[in-house]
Amino acid sequence: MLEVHGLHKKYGRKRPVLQGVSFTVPPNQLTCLIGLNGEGKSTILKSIMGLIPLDAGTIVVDGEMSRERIAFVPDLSTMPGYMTVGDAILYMEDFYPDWNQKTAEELMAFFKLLSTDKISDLSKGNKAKVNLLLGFSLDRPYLLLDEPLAGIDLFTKEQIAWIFSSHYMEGRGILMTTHEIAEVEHLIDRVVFLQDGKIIHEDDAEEMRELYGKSVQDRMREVFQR
Amino acid sequence: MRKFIMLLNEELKRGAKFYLIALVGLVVLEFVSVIYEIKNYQSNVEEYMRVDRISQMEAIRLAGGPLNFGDATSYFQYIIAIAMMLILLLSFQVWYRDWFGESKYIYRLLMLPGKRTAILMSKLTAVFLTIASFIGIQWMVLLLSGSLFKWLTPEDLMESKRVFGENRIISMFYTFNIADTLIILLVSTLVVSFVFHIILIERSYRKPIAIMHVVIDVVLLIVPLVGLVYIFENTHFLYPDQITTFVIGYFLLYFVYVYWKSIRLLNHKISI
Repeated sequence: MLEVHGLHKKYGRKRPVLQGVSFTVPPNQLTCLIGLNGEGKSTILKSIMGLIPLDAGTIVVDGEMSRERIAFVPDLSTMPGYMTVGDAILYMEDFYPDWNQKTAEELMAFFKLLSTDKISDLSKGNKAKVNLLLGFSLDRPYLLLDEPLAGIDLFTKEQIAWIFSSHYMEGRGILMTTHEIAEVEHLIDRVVFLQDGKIIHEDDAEEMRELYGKSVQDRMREVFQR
Repeated sequence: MRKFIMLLNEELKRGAKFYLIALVGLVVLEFVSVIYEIKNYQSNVEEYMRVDRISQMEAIRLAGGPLNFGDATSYFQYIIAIAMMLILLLSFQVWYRDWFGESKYIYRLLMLPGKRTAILMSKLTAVFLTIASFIGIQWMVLLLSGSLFKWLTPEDLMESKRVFGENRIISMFYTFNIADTLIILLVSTLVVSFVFHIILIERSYRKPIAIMHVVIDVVLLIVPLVGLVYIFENTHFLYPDQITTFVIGYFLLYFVYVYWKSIRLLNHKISI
């Protein structure tokens, strides 16, 4: 279980972005963190990964305060543009002891990426695919995905959505932020609604659909239009 | 250690283009400047002889005496200053390209398994190696320029006794004294570490707090050092050699402080 306890974050004199955010990401489930723009969804993911220092709060992963069991797929390219896809894979293989080369090769073939493709020459969709490949190829039980479907074409979205229902997800707890809820509605197990830096709802998606008789997207509309 | 070596390799690869362009540019500029100085001197002497109808000896006297190697390499000090500016630029570039470049490589760096110390050390070593290679190449260029000077300058226009004239910077490089070289490397490493430190402060705090941190660190460097040296000199509490040792010791101590604080910022404060 990935447990997030009492996250507080304030940027300068502005109003706090996070005000005691707490939630859990269970293994084997896809948890969707939902909120409007600027609500602090990306800040939460980056804080979990130690990319942004927190004012307060703790992250516990399976009882330990270690980030080495979490992989992060950000919404932008993190590999230098001069590298090829093959170089990026070699880089990851060199640095990460839990790198899974077999998964990397399978995903490269699935996404139709060539190892000679230069990262700076890739389209936005292909860069997103490389990001996913680098994240999913780490044998880590928790995966954070920041807007993996943003700004990419329909076919790429379908490919990425397929990954979410594939064996690559087995045994993993996923925390994802997205505005494209309709695309992944059927895959979501849990939803966490974030508003004004606080968690306002944390529900099981199936129970929520039964209880309110609404899809996650409609429920989101209802919650945020109040 | 393995992480450090791999990151250093990556840093060197990333900076290779900048390094090669800078190096070739500076070397070409230095050779061109030597040729220009020699030809310019020759044409001046010839001009004096032609216009004033005087002997070559008179013309040489009017041109400020025979040409020595120091005169022929007088532009080198400006080129060395350009090289120092480029090193300073490189010190900023090795960090900021990770934040503001085409890709956000800083995400990857900060997420790498293991300690973040290797990130700082790899960047510092990459700049240090650039400085060391610049010094080495400067020395080679000076040796080759010496041959070029002897080859291009007619013997009767050349001064062989005062090799460097007033050019102390060039004589320091040319003699390649190991102690001088070590001091240049030490001071350069300190300056680069301080620049890195400022960058890490800027990346960790909001502007007013960052400025406050930088001011405190500058005060910590200058005030005790200047104050104590002033007291030691006026009270004759220490011999000059001991004062020099004290200054070097203080710089080393400050380096340890800067390094410690930079690591702390990288581990706990840095923000992407």
